[in-house]
Amino acid sequence: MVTKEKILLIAGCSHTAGSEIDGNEDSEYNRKNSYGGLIATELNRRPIHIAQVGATNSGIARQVLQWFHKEYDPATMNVNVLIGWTEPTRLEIPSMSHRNYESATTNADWYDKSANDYYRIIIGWDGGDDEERSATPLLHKFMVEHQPFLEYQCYNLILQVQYLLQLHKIPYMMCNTMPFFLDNIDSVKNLIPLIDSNKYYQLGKKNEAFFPKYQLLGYVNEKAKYWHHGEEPHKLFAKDLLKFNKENKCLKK
Amino acid sequence: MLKKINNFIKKIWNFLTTPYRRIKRELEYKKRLAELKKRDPFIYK
Repeated sequence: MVTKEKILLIAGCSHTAGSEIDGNEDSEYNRKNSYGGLIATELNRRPIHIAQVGATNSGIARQVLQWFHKEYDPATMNVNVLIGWTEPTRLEIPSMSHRNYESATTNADWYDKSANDYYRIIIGWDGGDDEERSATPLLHKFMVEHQPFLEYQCYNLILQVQYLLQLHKIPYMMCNTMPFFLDNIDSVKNLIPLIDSNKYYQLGKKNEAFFPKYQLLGYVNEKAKYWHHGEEPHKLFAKDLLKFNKENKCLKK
Repeated sequence: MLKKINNFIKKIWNFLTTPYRRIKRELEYKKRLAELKKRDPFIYK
């Protein structure tokens, strides 16, 4: 009988990648000391860290879908999945040009190249090339005025990944690194009960998302240029997730 | 007749207050944009 390799697939944005723990946007040290890296060590699983710096939620969902499509071998792999969802207002727009987002994600164990077929619209960024600069003002207006649309789409992405993992009987855990804000409108309220809250750390609790939680607690990473958290918040978040895991048995040793 | 006068006054009122409403909408948009920028400050340059 073949012994399957125990793997923890870790997907998310820069927070999950451990960006700026050591001051760099991406590094082996950051990945290892990110909350996901620490959980992989604790569970004795080899981390396959596919989180991308600057990722959107649609990009995060695609990281998981593409990895399973291209890399997963159930005959040799025993995979568990950890996903950190990000800020819901970020958008990805399909493009005919190819971007090079890989230059910011230098230390992923596997890079979802499909990310380069889109450009990203982030609320504080006016765009880097002509295509982005011409589309961004209108899309920013859309983001500001249609937040419910963006949030319900994120819940759809969560459900898409949840059902994929359930279908393949893959143990998983999800959490928020950035909070979702709307849970008081019916279009969102009707979706939330479909999400398995036993596999989702602090579902719907805004201040328990990784970034605001430790920001509110006063943690400041002196090495960071872009406000990402340092080593201590990652350790504390990993500890909280492991406690949740012990109670809900999401990920396996 | 009264209805026609009412409609006419409404039209004048709407015309006069359009700049105010436009500015108000723009200020609300800017305020909301600033809130979202504060919420998601991760910009890579």
